[in-house]
Amino acid sequence: MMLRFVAALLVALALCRPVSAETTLEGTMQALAAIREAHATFSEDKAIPELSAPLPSTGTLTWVAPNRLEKHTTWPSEEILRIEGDRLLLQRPGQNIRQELSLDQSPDIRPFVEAIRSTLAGDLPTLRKYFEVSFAPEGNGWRMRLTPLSIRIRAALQLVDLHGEGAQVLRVETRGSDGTTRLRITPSP
Amino acid sequence: MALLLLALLGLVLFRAVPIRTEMSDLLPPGQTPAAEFLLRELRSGAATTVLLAGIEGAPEAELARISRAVGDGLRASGQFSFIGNGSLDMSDEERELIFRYRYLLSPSTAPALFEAEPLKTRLAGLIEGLRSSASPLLARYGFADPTGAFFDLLRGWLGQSQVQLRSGVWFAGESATPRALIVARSKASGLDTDAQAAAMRIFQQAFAAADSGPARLLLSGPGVFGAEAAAAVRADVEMISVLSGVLILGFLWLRYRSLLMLLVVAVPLLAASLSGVAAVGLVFGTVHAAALGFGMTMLGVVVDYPLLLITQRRPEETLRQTARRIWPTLRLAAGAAALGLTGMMASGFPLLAQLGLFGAAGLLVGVMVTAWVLPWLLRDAVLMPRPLPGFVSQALTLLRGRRAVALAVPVALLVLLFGGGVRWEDDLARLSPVPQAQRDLDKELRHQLGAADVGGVVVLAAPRTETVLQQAERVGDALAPLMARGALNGFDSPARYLPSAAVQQARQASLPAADAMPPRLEQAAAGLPFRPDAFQRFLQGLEDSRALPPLAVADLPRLPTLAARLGPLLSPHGDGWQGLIIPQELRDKAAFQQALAGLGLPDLLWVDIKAEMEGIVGVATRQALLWCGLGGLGVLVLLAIGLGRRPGQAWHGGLLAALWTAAPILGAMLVTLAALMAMGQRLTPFHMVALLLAAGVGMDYALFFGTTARQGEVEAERTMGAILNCTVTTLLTFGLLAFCATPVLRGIGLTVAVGVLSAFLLALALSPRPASPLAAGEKAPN
Repeated sequence: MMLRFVAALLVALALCRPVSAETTLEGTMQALAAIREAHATFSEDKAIPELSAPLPSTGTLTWVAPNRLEKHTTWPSEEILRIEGDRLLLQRPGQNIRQELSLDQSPDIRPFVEAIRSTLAGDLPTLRKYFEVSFAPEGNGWRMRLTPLSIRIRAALQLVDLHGEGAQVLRVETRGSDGTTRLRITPSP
Repeated sequence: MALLLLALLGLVLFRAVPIRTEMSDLLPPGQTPAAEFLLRELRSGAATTVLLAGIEGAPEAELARISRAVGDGLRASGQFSFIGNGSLDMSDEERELIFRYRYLLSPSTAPALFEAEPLKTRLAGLIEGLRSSASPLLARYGFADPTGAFFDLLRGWLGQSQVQLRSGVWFAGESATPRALIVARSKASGLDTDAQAAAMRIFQQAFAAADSGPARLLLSGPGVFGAEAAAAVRADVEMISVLSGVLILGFLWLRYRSLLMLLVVAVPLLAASLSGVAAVGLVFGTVHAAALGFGMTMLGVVVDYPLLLITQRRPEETLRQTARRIWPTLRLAAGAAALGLTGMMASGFPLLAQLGLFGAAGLLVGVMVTAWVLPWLLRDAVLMPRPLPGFVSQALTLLRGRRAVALAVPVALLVLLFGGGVRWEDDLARLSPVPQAQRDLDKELRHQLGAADVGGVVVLAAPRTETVLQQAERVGDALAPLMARGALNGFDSPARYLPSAAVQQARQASLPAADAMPPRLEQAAAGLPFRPDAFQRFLQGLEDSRALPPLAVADLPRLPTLAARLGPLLSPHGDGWQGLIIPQELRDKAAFQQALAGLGLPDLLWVDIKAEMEGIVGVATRQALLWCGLGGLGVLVLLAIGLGRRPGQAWHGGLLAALWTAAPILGAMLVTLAALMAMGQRLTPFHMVALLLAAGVGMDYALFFGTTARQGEVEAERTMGAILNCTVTTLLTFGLLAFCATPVLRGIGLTVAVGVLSAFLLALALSPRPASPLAAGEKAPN
């Protein structure tokens, strides 16, 4: 009986081991860094205190290592947000809007971008440049909370809460001065 | 030894006399209020503190990085009041302050802005914006300002600029290769040219410190102009000195086979240049670099005097005797030339006055050194010119007394009459020694930055800023209908950045009452997912706006971005303030002036820049011409007196002789003018000075030909050789000037070369044939 219990424990430990190895912060970051390209669909709900109902939207996400992220909103109106290196491009064809800016020149915007991009890139040093990072395994996956280091930034962005499994980011909740945004990500094959 | 002494003297002199490089010294004084304003602006106005820069030669991202690094470097230097190279960089404090004043500053503040219908469109737009990734920005300002007055205000300030914002940095919109653009305004006054030059160096250092690699910096601005002009003149003068030095050396060797000859030529030349500097330094206190460059070049003609002295010596004479013999003629010639140039001193054109004095003093000292110092220096030396090569001598003899050559004069007259006359330069810019390429770059950068050519400016002056701003608003109101029908594209006005207190108060009064707004908001938000209290910040903002004291000039220190934009348009002037309104792309000048006149503002001044510039140049040119004429008259009188003193001649005989002597010179001047016209040169006052100089030199020829023709064939032959030597050296120097990059130098070179050549030919052709046949001439006593 005792033996069987020990054996079962050993088996359980053996089974758990790879999982627990990945659910450390460093392990997760390494797994994320190994992904060169990823495609996904998303749905987003933006809850703004002044509005009586959240604003929904859906679209696709594309990630290409090392630093290119594109968020293509297809509904309810088209928008392309492309971040590559230092440059951010925002296009809203319906409104004839095309804006381009340098992230180096926009310290207020940069943390919003790096919260997602540096996570996808598995770039822990950059994350730690802008955020206090707390990480914990949760359920089958993990949960990472990013709190901006700069007080100035915290006026606009209070918290980014990411949930994922292995090398997949599945949910991002952003709490800012303009409300809370919930982003759900479904990986495409 | 003498040369060494002169060189030492020169060193001392250059230390003692300050040299100025202000380009504004090139400008004549203004005669009308508009011209005065324009010249003041050119000397010290806003434009004199602005540096424009383009950075190119690298990929866009790299250029953006360099532009930012340069911008940071310039900001760190603390020497600039405004640096523009990218998005409107406003501090949070300034942004908050402007946001607080949004309804007082924004021209869109009007009762209609707060009606339910227009608000409905705005609110739908707000929802749309909140869906976008830019939602944090919209959430920050949209609920507090659903009317969009704040964003409209900022957009209005940016204006219809040509620049494109790429990678957060300004780029030229219509450039084949990417070019980042920077504008910087230095804090120092435009009058402080040293500070402007320092600003240019700070800029260059910031660029070098930006690790710029293969990228190139293209810089323009007053500091750059000064430096470029000085460098261009220096390069030209150096090139000419070296080249013509070598050529003259070769020629002198060919003719005299003596190196000593070079020293003989150098001593009067150097003495003349030094005395020119000294005279100008004594009279004006400083010497302008351009006067120095142009003046030294012009004094190249002094070389004639030693050549005349050496070459005219008879075999049996000592040099001292020769000097004594030819002195009356030499004195007359140099005196007449100097008198002609002195007229320029009264022209009121600072540079021209300096140049006139420089030339006159140089000529007189040059001739005195030749007559009195050279014979003493060359006591024992024997310098004999080699005989002219046979064919040259024959050709010259053939030409002598050929009156037919003088037909060139009526031909020139015809050319001048029927070719439409000489064209006068009316563009002040082309008088400047700033190289064409640099001016083209300036124009290009200006265009790319959207600062199109300023065609004119409305000047307002009043003791208080409030009055200036109110007047600016009245002008703006008067111009609005013109803009509507396309008579002009737009205008910049101080009221665009800081409305008068009266207008701000009127806007406050036009804000809707506290209880009027909530029902309208409710109506506008119908069907949209806003909570009832969503616009609390907006209502509070309206309430606050009603109680604000109007924003005034005293608040500007808290608003650096606004102050930088307002500064060039509203500035203290004398005891009061001066406001500028700058129309853009003015197409209907008559309607514009009529609209201004209709305002009945007594202190309003409309300055049509192009017309005023042309007026200023025209006045200066007319004055130069007048003084040229008076100088010429003076020369005639001097000649008449000089020639009339010859024994056995009555005074009217002197006048006749003077006219006869002056005839080839007048003819040569006409021929020169016709030639310049044919070459497409536009005449400037500098051409006039050069023409006077050529006339002065030509006078030598005519006088010597005339004097020696009476003294027999041998003497005539000798003189012909001497004068030919003079002409060739002058041509070698001034002919080369035609290859200069500096337009003024090129003009001087062409004028003197053509003038001297035609004076030589005409003087030769009009000179009397030798008094006696060859055999008799040889024996003829003097």
